[in-house]
Amino acid sequence: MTDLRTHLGRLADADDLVTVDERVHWADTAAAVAREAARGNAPAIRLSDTGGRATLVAGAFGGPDRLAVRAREPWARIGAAVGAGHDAGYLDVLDGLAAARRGGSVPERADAPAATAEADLRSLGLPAAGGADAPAITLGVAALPAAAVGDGAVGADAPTRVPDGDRTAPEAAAWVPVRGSVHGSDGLALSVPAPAGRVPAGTRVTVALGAPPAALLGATMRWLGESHTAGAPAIADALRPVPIAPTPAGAVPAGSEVLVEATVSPTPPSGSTAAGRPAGRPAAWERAVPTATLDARATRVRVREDPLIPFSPTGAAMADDRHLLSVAESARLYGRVNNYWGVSPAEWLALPVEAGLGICLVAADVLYAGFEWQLANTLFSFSHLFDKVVIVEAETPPMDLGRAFDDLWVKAHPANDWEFSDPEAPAARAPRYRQDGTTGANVYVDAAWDPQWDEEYIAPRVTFDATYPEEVREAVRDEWHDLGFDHGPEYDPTRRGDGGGGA
Amino acid sequence: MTPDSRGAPASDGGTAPADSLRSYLRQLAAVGELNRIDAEVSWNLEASAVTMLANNRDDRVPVFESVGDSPVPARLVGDPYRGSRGRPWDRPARALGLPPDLSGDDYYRAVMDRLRNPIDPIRVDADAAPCKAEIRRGDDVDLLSLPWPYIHAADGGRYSNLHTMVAPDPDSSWTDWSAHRAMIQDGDRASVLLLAGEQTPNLFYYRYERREEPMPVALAVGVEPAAQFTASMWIPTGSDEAAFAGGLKREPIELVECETSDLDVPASAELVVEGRILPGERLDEGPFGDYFGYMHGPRRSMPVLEVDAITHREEPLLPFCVEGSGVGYSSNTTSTTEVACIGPDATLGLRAAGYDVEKCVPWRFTPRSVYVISTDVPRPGYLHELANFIFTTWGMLHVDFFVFVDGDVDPLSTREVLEALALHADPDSDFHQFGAETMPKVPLNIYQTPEEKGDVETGTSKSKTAKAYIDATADGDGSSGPADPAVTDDRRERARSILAEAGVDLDPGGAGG
Repeated sequence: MTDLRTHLGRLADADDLVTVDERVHWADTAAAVAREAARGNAPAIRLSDTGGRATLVAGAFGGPDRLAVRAREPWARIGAAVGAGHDAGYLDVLDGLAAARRGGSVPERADAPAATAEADLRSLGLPAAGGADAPAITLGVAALPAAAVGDGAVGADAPTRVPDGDRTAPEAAAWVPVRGSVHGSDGLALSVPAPAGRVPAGTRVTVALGAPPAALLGATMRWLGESHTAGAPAIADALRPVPIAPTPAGAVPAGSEVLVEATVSPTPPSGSTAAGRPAGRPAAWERAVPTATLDARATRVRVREDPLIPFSPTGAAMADDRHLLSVAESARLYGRVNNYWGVSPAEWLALPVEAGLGICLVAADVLYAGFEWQLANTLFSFSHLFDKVVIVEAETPPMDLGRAFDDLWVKAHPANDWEFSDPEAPAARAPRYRQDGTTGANVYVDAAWDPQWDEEYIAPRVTFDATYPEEVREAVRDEWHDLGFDHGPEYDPTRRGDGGGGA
Repeated sequence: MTPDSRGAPASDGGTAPADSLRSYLRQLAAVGELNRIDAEVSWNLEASAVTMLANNRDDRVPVFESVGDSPVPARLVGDPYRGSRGRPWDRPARALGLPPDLSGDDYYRAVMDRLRNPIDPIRVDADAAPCKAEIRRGDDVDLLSLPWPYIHAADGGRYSNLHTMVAPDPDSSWTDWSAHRAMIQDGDRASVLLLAGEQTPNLFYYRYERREEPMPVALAVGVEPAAQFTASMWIPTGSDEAAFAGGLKREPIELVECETSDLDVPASAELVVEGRILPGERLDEGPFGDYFGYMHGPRRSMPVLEVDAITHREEPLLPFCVEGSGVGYSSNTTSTTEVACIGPDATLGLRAAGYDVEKCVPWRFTPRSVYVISTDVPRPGYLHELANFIFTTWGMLHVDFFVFVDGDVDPLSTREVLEALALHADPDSDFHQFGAETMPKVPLNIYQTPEEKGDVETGTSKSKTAKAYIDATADGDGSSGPADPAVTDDRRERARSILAEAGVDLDPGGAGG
């Protein structure tokens, strides 16, 4: 099992976690620290003194950008979280997530959750993150009775709780990502995927904070896209073993740091926003998934000893929620385009966090003339998050955004290789324009070589490997330090020792 | 004046500017950023291979003190002005006597202030000019006696590619300083990359060559930093480039007359190649590993420089740039001078033309192909007008794209620009002039076929291309939820202070400083 504590231990071992002992109050400073840490490519930050009962953790699933050569990759913490390793390659992380969407393992059942100490909601010290003027829930997993979460066909007579005998049955619980805010002593306004927002009043819901990372990813991945996936507990368990434990709303990740048991209310909590939405900015997954607001009243709060609560400064650049969605959605699309034409043309695919998830980069073999059109429009069909696709050469390394965003401008012919659709495409959800759903164009940029070009037209990249004979390269590398230089291969953009970004 | 004898702080907080390449290198050495390599290194790919790896690894600037097979005991310097990764303006700042730890905004402001106040050059006698220590004319001239580097294995030949070309307007007293690489052909000839659309090439093709007259030129190699930077800038036709260099330096540039023409060159130069570009004559030029990161070909016919004299210092330093290595995350002299010199100059130029832009900055990963301009949009049509002003008046044959972002987006931060591009540029309405194949282009590109590039007399591509601009301003569409109270300056400062106290080293994520 990889619970949050284990995950943070791995980050600490990798020197990717810093503890701030200074008082950082949950109400007015914690969110600012998280935002600046994310913006500044900082390690994960543990805030040990926030004025609340919980220790807050910023950046547990974040990471640095790829706009410079850095010692760490942006997906390193998520790689650590799912067991691929803090030093995992990007494709290892994508492959692991893509495979886990099929589920395939059954979670172990625990008698009781690890969180046993009673607590109250207000004393936790949930941070006012993402512009919220109230304590906020940003990286939560909610469990509801699966029978109550249908596809819109569930009636008012749906069960409001999971029967005692099924409370550790993974199929009896629906796990959903949740963002929300706390109003008064026990009022909750929760943003959840739309089907979960239609459960009737009285339905039991358990919000797990500080859930094992695999549960957080599994709950998100279950709701991305229209294709069939396993249930969230099975996805989570396929990533890393996630034992489950009973609550009235159904099974929850047993290792969760905090469990908030609640009952769905027919009316919003007093003090909630006039728009009927939770306070604060939406999390990234809310742009990828239709959502609804669930109003609820907390009835019981249990915590582990010295509870830890990860949070994300939603709406901020490089925030945790963007990282999580970037990897989850990239893995989904990578898996889909490589299982569509009988071959696997995509070497890698990324919705860079750095671009706010509004651009999809895909490194692919252009199989034949016009394949770039097929590939781009397949991606537009599979995801409505973005309306810009950039196709780069398959050999462009995924960590080398510098080269990818060089090719965007220098390889694509501005008259011929920027292809705009007719203006009837659905509005993308990540961008800030046309949020009323007005249709418009999308665009793909073909920054790969034209397969119809003669070989002699293809310009070689200027790289160390491609530019110099082997004997010169070897001599320079071998004598590097003797020549008086200090920086070794770890400074190279691709870490392959040449910094060339591919041959 | 003895370069190293000065050290008094300048009024804008820095120290004295370097008044020669040598004094600049001493500045770097003093702060541990120079690597003097005494082991013998060949000009034949070795020096450039070492330099490319240093560029890729953000290591110290190499000086090759001992270059094999060079009758003249000259030395090579690999990409001397490459800025450090993340802060590309730091070494140019040092060269100009500015504090190297300036923020990006402050650096731009300081350079623009200096460019606003040109200082006329002064003329010195030959015996006071360091570049006249050795003078070779006539049969003594031999380009091949110097260790011009062979930079990429697939290049068409050896190059001088980090010099200032000095060329006069035949019809006025104006002299243009510019940068046009020269491929060494033999002892007294080189082919020079002249692409119509730029100032000096236009002088040659449309004045000298039409009159069947040779154009006198001088290649001033290894000039002082301010002169080198000015040659890369877009100084308006008719303006005295030496005066702008003086403004940058805050001291007059010393000029000295050539031996075989009445051209004036910076007296600080390490070496000066004097000669004439001949009308009606062409020699092969290229292929060459070019600034955009790819080998550019095919070989083309370019005008011929015939050399009349070479003057130089004792043990001259020949700087060179490993073109093509300044893309992606790596920097070289070209990519650095783009950000550190052309950016402030272009910003100032736009303001002078009445466009109240915040900043104009080259895209960090791609020199000379795309620029980002931060600006408010005061009226409908403003961005179209601004884009067309630039594309038509600046001779934009290299630059294909402009990206406009809001005034509060920092164009020096690639992340902020990327986010603006992704989240605010609507493919339905914000991408302009794509697809319109009506505009000129230099053949230094990889998206046109050899047939489209052709091999026309004046160097530009036979086929046209598109020049496009992208409106990545918010247009009022920025609503993504309530304002975040964590974003106030006080909160941010407090948060950063807390993180610093905990030992967290914050990186702005771009070059915004």
